[in-house]
Amino acid sequence: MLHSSQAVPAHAGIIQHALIAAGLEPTLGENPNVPDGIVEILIGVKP
Amino acid sequence: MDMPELESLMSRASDLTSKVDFWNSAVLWALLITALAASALVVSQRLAFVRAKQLADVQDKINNIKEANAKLVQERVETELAMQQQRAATAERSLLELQERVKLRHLSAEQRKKLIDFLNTPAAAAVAKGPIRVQSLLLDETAQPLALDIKEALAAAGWPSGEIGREMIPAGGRTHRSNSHVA
Repeated sequence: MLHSSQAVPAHAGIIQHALIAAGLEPTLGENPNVPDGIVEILIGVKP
Repeated sequence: MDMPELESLMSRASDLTSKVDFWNSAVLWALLITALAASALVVSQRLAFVRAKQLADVQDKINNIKEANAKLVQERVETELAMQQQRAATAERSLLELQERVKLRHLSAEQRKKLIDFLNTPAAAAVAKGPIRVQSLLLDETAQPLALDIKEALAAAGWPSGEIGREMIPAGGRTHRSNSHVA
């Protein structure tokens, strides 16, 4: 979860790919309440 | 021969002739009655055969209807049984799905290793470690153990993420989801 897809933190891709490498299926979401520059991993939405 | 004796014999002959005629008539009547009785016997026997055949036909129809009804009832019971089995299978599948949904989720040892190994690759290590926040959805109690596992794995790979928060997405949604990959 990111503040905005227009301003993606540099480490967001690494975290996303690390989760994918672990077999998880993260989806990218935008949340204006997430501070800019922070990558939030929100767990709880099952596919 | 004297005349009185002759007359007596003549009278006797006449009397016997009448009696012979009577009994001949009786024989004829007896024959007629016997013929009628024989005819009645033949007709009766014939009617008995016909009625017996009709009775057999009716009984066959009754048996056919009974068999058809029994088959219909059996098919109905089998259909109902199949529907009940299907309902039971659906209920069992729903129960399994529910059990799967409420099962506490964890990061397996293999997943933990893969996550840490990836974060320790030179490509990942070259990226500056930015701030991470791990949140678990407020109403999903199965998420908390997985959030803890991910936070611990991130920390083991040198990516601290602070305390795990609880978040609730308000009605109407404030997130815009997409499956796209970030660079």
